[in-house]
Amino acid sequence: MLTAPVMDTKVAAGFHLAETVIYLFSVLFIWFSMRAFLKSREHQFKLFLTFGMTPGQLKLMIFLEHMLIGLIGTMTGLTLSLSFVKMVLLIAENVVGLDFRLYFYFPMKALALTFGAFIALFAVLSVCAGLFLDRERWILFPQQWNKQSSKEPNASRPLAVSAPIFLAGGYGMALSLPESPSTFMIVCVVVSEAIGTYFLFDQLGVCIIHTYKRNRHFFWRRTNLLLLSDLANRMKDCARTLFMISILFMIAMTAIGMMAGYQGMIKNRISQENPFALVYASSSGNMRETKDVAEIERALEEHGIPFQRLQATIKELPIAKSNNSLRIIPASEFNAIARAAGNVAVAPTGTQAILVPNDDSQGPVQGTGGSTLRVGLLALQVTGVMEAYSFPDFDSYLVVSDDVYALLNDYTRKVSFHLFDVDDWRQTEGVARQLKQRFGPTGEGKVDFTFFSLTYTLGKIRQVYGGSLFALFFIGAVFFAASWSFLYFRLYTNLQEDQRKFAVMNTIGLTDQELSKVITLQLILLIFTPFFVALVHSSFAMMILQHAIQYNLMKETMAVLGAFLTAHVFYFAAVRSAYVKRVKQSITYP
Amino acid sequence: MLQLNRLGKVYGGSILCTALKDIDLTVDRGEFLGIMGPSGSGKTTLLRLIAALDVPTSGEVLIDGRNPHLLPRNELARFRRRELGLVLQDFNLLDTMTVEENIVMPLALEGVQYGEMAEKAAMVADQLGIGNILHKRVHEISGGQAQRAAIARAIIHGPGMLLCDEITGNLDSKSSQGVMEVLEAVHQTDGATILLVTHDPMVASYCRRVVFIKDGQLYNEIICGENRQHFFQRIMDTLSLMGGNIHDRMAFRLS
Ligand SMILES: Nc1ncnc2c1ncn2[C@@H]1O[C@H](COP(=O)(O)OP(=O)(O)OP(=O)(O)O)[C@@H](O)[C@H]1O
Ligand SMILES: [Mg+2]
Repeated sequence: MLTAPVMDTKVAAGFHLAETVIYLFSVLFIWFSMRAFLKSREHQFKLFLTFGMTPGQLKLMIFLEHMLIGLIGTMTGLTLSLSFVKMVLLIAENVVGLDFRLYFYFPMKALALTFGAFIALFAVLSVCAGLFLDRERWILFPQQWNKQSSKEPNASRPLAVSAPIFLAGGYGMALSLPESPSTFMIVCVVVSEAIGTYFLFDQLGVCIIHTYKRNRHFFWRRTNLLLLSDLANRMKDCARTLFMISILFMIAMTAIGMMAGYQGMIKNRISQENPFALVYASSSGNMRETKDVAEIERALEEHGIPFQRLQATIKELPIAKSNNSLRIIPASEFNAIARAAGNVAVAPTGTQAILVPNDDSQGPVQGTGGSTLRVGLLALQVTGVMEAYSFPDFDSYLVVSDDVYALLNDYTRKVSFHLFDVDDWRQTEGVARQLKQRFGPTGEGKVDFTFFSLTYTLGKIRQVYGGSLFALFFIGAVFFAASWSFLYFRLYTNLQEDQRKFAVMNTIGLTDQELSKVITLQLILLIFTPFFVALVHSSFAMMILQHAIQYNLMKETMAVLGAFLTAHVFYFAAVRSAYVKRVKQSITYP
Repeated sequence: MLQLNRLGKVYGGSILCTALKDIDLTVDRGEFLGIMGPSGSGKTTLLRLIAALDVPTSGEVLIDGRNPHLLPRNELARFRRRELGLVLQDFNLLDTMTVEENIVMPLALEGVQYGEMAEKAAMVADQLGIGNILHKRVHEISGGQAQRAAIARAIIHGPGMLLCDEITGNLDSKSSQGVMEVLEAVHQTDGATILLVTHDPMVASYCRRVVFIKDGQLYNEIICGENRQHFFQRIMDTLSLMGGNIHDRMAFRLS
């Protein structure tokens, strides 16, 4: 598949895992479709056997048929997937926001490998399917009445009740997990959720339908009779598929949710910690300062971006009897910046100083207020600590009154900051790129100025995380596509049955509205139940993730789940109209 | 009540097959009409055209002056479940339901109250002798029982017109007689118009008039006089004249 040279080993490992998972799901998918296919032709096989075909011949026939299907299917799949890969790459470039092109190449080796793997898979599975037929009684007694399929499906009340208990228990456990949960605990949560979900479809769903059916006043009302009579059977038949589909949906949603969450978190953190789109910091002695600042202003004006320039000069002084130094900014400048950045203003008087710590720095003035710092002739009282983000990548600093600031003249260095405040920092991308080029590499070595741009920094970070985010996106997309096709396939195994049913109903007299009402309700139940179960599960997973990364994922979760829901509604609409059309077609209407 | 004007049906496909040709037939309200003819002569096709389950290639069907083929689809559906009772050759029961649920279907769709439905179902089932299998599922009952269940479903809503295709094919002569008596009762009490396709002269002799179809065309028609035995004999004669399948053994039944 994708083995572009841009991948690092971690991402590659992720992809190999995804590949394995996808292959395993293909195994399941092909297996289930084979079984369903054989099931739908059971009647035909029984006739063959009745008229003297030997079971061996039947199995050979099945094997050859499946190999032919497998060959055609794999070829078609490979052709389609080549075009699909290109599409995924295009989408990914835009969704993840990669700067470089994800380029497409013709993967001969991968194609050969995929082809071999799938043909082998078909061979093994069709042999297995043949062997499985031996377990069926009709292989020996083709005309014996099959009681099992005609019975009302049974569901046990205790098991049905246990479904919500398992689900709630799992969630409860998940909520009360300690900071660093052991593997055992996580396995417990997952297993409990899995059992709960399975019973939800296999037992609770069937039980609820039975309850409705038992109320005959309800059951016999108009089209309810038509809808509910085989719904329990369907539910029981589909339980395993519905369960699997919910899990697939959940993985897809969680993967894409995580991608969006991390992306949102990074973006949010950085833009929050850097309220100004562009910053030019200049040490004393930088000759280009005025020229550069003028150039930035001109560039912004050229691009028609309204801005406000703020300025601050920080003095760096050594602390008495220590090797460390302090950074100090006057209150008037700080307050102007704070107002622009949406922070609160401060008003230190006398020798009071407010400490603005930086998360990452291990400076001399860590911790809370109350301490006294001696600088030069003055003793500064740290009376308060306050969180504020105004300067990019700067150490902790102190805010003092303008008068005190004026007295501090034995500084070792002075750094002046030019902060450019714009309404929407996203607009500055072009300007930033242009200026970055003009100024050349900064920040390191002897250069005595730095130029910071929010969009540029964010872009850089995105490139670093891009690979992992893309892997998450890819896994999500693949799993989502897989669940859709599973669901589609499952629904279509019932089509024949429904066509017959509605052909019969047509002779009795069923209006178009009644027909589409019954089909719509039936499809809503089968299409949306697993989806909503997955929705609940993955919101929960996102909640736990939110707890782990200490960042509010509400917005991202809503956006991702909302997007999934929208897509799913469209999917439902498409499947429904196609299904209704197919059923109507099978009825010979005048 | 029912009028067929030069009705014709040609089945398409790779080889064209003329199933019906220029059928002209008038059936009065409350008539009990038998339709006979050799296998493949177009009897089922005729009923399907009358019930508007298929489109004619020529001619028209008029029921009470209205052409069902020209009705909007929803109107047609309502017409079928209010005015029409249909028993087709392959019973057409829904096998995911019990017999009782199948029988009440037309009433349920019309939104009839539960109590009334259950009552009526029990009544028709008793009439047809299937009261004891109401709660069985369709594949747990015999062919004859399925046939009677289909009849029950067709008459439960008291239709104005009943179309029956081979409804006694799976029944022994005693059950056949039972079924025919039920139809007779429906005919007399509700005044329903009945069209009955059959191969069985004994069954046909319950009708007031029998039309014969051969190769998709009307061949002959005989009307019941005073004597049913005599009528039966004339049916037998016509059948043997027509060739096709004559059920000689049937002759012994009536005696
Ligand atoms: N759907 C169809 N497509 C093509 N030909 C058809 C179709 N249905 C019936 N026919 C043909 O039309 C002719 C009349 O068929 P029809 O079913 O009306 O016969 P029938 O009189 O009911 O026979 P039987 O007594 O055996 O039920 C037959 O020759 C048959 O082959
Ligand atoms: Mg027929």
